Amino acid sequence: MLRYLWGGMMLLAVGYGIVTGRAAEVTERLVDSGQNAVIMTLSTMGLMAFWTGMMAIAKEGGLLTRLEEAIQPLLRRLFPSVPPDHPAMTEMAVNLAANFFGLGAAATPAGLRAMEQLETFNPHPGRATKAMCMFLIINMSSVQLMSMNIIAYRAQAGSASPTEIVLPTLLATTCSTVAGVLYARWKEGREQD
Amino acid sequence: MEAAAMVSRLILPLTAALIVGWGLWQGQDIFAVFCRGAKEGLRLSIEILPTMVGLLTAVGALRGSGFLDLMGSILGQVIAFTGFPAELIPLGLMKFFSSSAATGLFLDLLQTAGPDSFSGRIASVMLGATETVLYTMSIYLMKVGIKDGRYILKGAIFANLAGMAGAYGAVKLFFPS
Repeated sequence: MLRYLWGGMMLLAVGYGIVTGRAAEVTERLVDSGQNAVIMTLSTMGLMAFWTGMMAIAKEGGLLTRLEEAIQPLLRRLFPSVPPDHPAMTEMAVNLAANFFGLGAAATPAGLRAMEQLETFNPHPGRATKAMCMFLIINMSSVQLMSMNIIAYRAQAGSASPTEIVLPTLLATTCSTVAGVLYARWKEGREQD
Repeated sequence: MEAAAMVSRLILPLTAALIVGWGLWQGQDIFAVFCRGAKEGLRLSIEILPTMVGLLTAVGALRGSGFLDLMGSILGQVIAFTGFPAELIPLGLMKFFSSSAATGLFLDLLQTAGPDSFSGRIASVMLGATETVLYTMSIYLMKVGIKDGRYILKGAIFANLAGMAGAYGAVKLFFPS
């Protein structure tokens, strides 16, 4: 799937760029983007390391197990194919909770480990399981409580009430997550594992 | 609302303090455990770097070619009949590909339309209710070598469209004019 998506993007960029006479811009981006990716990764690396360090402490002390227990009923419903005491559940709990509170740098490592854990009992390695689909769709539906960045940008732009969008955002993001969960559920019922 | 923003500001320091306090209370060698965990984070960052290089290059080239602008304006016109502001479609489309590019468009919009305008409000809500699908999907799938993503992409697009529709509906609901 990704190979076609990525390949398509590359070919489209070069093809469309040449046809519309923007080959120079395309070349420039091809040359510069790798550097941007490295700079971006380096600049977020420290925060990510900070959170994986924190999470290691929380895990060792059993704090993460408590978090998982707290949202266990929800997790069981969303991921019926994952055994309740499987390590994947803890990682997914951390990922979802961190995303909810806007701690993206803490969410990503947990999410990556969750995928590793889910892959350990994948009957068809290389093919996404239903639990993976549900997990990633929820993840990509935006579950964030509120974005401090957006509020800050609004304040900078001179908004009379930068935070007035908090409740509407909560409503909209609930919409997207519910839609994603319903879609995944519907698909689960129609497809074989 | 101010209280909610306050909670959001405090969540990071409070979480850190809770974890450190908990670890000390449990008699853990917390700094050693922290360093071990942090090492893992650095390794993970490096591990996703190839995916990032590949994606940022493709997205960068696609933006440079002007194709995303074309798509944005076409989709904007198609969707115009629903009453959804056409100028927000490029923002939704860009968010799918790149968070920083979407933020750039958002900042422009805050300047041109104003943060408290109809479009400005929807844009603010929309950015919070959508996710950078391409990037998220790629790093997670590449991590475990998933080749067949099944209905993940469709589901994610569906959820994000629902988020955009939700943003429109929520702004209409909360700010009737």
